[in-house]
Amino acid sequence: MQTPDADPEPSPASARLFEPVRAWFDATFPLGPLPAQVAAWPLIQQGQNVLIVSPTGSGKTLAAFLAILDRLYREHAAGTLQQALRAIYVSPLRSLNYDIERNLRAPLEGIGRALGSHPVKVGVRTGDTSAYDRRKLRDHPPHLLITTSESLALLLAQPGWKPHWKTVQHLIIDEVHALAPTKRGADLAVSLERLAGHAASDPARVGLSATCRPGDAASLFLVGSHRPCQVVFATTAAGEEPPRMEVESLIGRDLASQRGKAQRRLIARLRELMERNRTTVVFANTRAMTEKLVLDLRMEAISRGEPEPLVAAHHSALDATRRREIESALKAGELALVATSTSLELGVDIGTVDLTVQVGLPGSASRWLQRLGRSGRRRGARSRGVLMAATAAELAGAIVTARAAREGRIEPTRIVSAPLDVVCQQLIGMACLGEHAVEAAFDLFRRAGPMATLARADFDRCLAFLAGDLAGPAAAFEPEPGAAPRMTAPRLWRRNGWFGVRDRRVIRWFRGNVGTIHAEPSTRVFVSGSALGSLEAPYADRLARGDRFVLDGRALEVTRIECATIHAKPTHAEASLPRWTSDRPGLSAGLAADLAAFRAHAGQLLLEQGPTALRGWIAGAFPLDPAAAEILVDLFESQARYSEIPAAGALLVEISPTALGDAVVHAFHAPLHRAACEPLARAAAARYGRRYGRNLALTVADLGWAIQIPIEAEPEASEESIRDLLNDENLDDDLLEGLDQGELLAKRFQRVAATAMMVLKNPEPGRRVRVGGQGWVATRLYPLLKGTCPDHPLLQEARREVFEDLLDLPAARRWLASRPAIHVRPLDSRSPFTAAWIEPEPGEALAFESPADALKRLHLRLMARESVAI
Amino acid sequence: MGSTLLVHDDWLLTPEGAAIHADLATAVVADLHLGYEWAREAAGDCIPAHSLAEALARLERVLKHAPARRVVVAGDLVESHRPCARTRADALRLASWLADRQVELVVLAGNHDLSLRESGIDPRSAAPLAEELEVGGWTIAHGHRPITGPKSISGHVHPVLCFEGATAPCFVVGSGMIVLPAFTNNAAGRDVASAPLPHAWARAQPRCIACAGDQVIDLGPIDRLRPPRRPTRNDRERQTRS
Repeated sequence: MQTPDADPEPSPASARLFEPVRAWFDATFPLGPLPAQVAAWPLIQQGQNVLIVSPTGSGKTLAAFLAILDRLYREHAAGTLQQALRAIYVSPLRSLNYDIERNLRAPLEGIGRALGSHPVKVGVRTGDTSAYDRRKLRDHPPHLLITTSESLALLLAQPGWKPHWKTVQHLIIDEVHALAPTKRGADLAVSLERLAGHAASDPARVGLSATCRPGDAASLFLVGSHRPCQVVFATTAAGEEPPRMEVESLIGRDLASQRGKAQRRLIARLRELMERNRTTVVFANTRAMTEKLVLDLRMEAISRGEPEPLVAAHHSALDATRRREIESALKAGELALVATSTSLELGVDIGTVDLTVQVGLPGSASRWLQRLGRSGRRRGARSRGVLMAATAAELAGAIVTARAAREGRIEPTRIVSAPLDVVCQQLIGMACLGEHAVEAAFDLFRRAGPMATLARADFDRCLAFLAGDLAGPAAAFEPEPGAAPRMTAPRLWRRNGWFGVRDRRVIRWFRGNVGTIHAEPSTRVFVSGSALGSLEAPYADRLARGDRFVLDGRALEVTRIECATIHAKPTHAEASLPRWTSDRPGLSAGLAADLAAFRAHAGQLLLEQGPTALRGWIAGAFPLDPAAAEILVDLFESQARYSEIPAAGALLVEISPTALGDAVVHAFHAPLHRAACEPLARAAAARYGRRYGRNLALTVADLGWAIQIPIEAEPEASEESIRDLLNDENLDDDLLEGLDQGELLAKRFQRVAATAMMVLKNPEPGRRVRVGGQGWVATRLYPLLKGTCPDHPLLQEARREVFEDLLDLPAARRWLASRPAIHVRPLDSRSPFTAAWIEPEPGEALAFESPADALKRLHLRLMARESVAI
Repeated sequence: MGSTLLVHDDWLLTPEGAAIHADLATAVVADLHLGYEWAREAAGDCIPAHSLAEALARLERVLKHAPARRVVVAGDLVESHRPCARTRADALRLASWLADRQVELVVLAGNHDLSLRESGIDPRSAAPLAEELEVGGWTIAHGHRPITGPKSISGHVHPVLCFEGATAPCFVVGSGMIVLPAFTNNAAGRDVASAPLPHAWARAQPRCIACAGDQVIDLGPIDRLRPPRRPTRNDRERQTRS
């Protein structure tokens, strides 16, 4: 492992390049190669596996590609260059693919001009590629193939491509930090092993990653456990300044009318920033907020009689062509501001951005740094970012996030551990190509980094499920034994240690459903005949002709509704914001711990030395406007007055009635991130559910959770009863029970079933089953499978995903083992901390009563209301 | 068995979603959607076969409530418009299961039973399905078309009651009207507490009778269950437009 921070070498590293390549490079980059390039070129030339970790704008693309191009041009000069596939570049984004192709055009054309011929061919294969071009690529493969992980999986399942894999020598994987922690990454890792299995010799891997830590799981993801990997850490250029980060508050000390006021203040601030900067990118976390920002900026300009500002929205519900338009306008510097949810976070070179604004918390320091890296990508420019907080809780989170980012405290990358739905999809993909030996397939899977922990028994159960012979418990739903096959449409056959695809339909289904990306059902929106974007079905279903909604940062009016398509026209009247579901990632473990420690320290200062000392500490420790610091002092003072500030590592439980007085809320303040709060909250809810036999409502947040219990249950709480409630014994079982009362597991199972191709996202044309509705898999198949096949690998996978990827049970356990001090506080109404951190989120209903009991209670309530009315 | 049943007019309503006329020994059910899994197979899904077994288990419970000599399926016996051989086999197994218990099976045409309407469930004795049947002055039909006759029993709508995140199938009954819940669990229901209701129900002053476990619970007039939904901006404007 080496860390060449600066390049002290007197002779330029480009000297080792082949002459025409060197000449082009030196002419284009007179300042010489960047550190990442200096370090990576020799390693890639030697055919080693390399993970290049460096900030954006540090010349990673050329670091990876130029050494490979160099070899191809050398072969061409020697007359040995064959027309064969030599290297494959995979990125998670289609737009990134086109970007890379464009960026490669300069060196290819420059070097080609010098040589007088263009021997090296590059091809792009994505979901957008036309059938003609696909055939052309297959019949005459380029030297360098640029593709996405889904397209690669499709190619691997086609017999026509199989001979081409033989000559592949390099695999370049971009955005490793984004792929590694996902199922998409796990899927790609297996695809790469399959490709390597077809190659004459094991291809060398080159990974490109923005932020990750040394000795991290990212290299395990890239090469698996049995290959060596060189990790190259490189900064941008010598003497580069670190990014500048500021935190701003959108609220003043009068906390009363904050939300609307904060929005107005945000728009005003963005207008100021737009005037002072060339291009600003705003990360707004959600699609709805993105739309609202752009619409408000436009409306505000119109209300002032100004020309429409050069602003645009960019998120994944907008049509791909619309997004490409915005990206190229952004690159050309034609836009003053682009608001985005998360979609501009990765890869695509967005040129001239000089400021990034983060509205609300980014969740982790790595993510904030990644987003910051979107500005100042030009060589020598310094990136600058502002984090804007709309509530006091966000403000506290923001200063802690900014401190961690300034100190470069990057969260560790966690890779997904042996996801069985991905195993199922890959097994089908393998079978599409012909027969395979079970033993060899298992060994191949285990070579992929994320599959290193795959158990043989789980692998065998995946095969059994796909072959339709997974045994259920005796007599489960079988009135006439042997009368009907247990599973419909098995995918594979399995005999004597071999498996293969069952029939041609399965190959068709595989092609139509490849990939691990989960999309909510949606309705497309057309404006004057061209596709603009899409709305999620539950929202779109409630629209009628004449209704108005916001999309692409503009108000639109519905003119016509056809099946699954909405036609709309622009309008200037007020319109409603669509709803989109999204996985809202909470704070990272590190940031939540920092924030809890910050609160505890502030509480201690306030208690022992008073508000002046607290004010002084905040002013000294965090670069923050004094007026904004006052907001935090106010919040801490009011919490200390009304209740208490939880001490370091301790648990504070506040008990208060709801505003309506029909229920009691137990609010738990714990020093944990949401992923660790959630298992404790669910287990606690399950235990309360058993104790009181009533339906509950649960809210889980960072730094705590709240359980709402009906008043008739007469819930009690003491330090003893709370300690008992959070007992570590049987925590797993109670957590599972708590999960089963909510919808988390069932919803996850729905995605798992889609990825494993158990229930197809894109069914056979004309055969879609409508009875049962969208939720059939979660509400019906999930319980059905639990009854008929309790050890089904996909049920296990849904549990694994929830326990390991969504929740952080080990962190929760570690905290319980520290035997935290417990304080119970009865209050008249919810405390400032509960209002700020836990309860802005709506609660989820948990059913602990039998449906009959709940119905009877509903009946009684209706009768009571009736008698009052009389 | 400690089941609660409920009597509406001449009919006994059971927690399984059947209406039984005890005097005429006739049980009426609707919307079995047999072969649901085979329809999903044709779409490409790989799921456990279950609908026949569940239907039989449920019918067995129905027949325990009151001795019936006849089971009338008020439409949608099968899921698919183009039932495969397995679906037909499942329908025939249901018929023979009933025949073993000396119970006659009468199948009325539903909107899903397109091919059965022409050929009947048994291709060898192809008698087309009837649209309606009269039992004790009540007209039984699927309900996808207007029903003639003053008193009707129908299915088709799959009524359910959603509350506190849970869903219970329910009967909708009124003067001269019984709407049966779907007999299969595979149907997504229409929530009587929130979804738009068929116009034909209005004059019957419908009540909701929910099925939960082994109980049938009368929850009174449907209107009482429908909380005034907070209208969205679009709803309000739609009102002013019309």
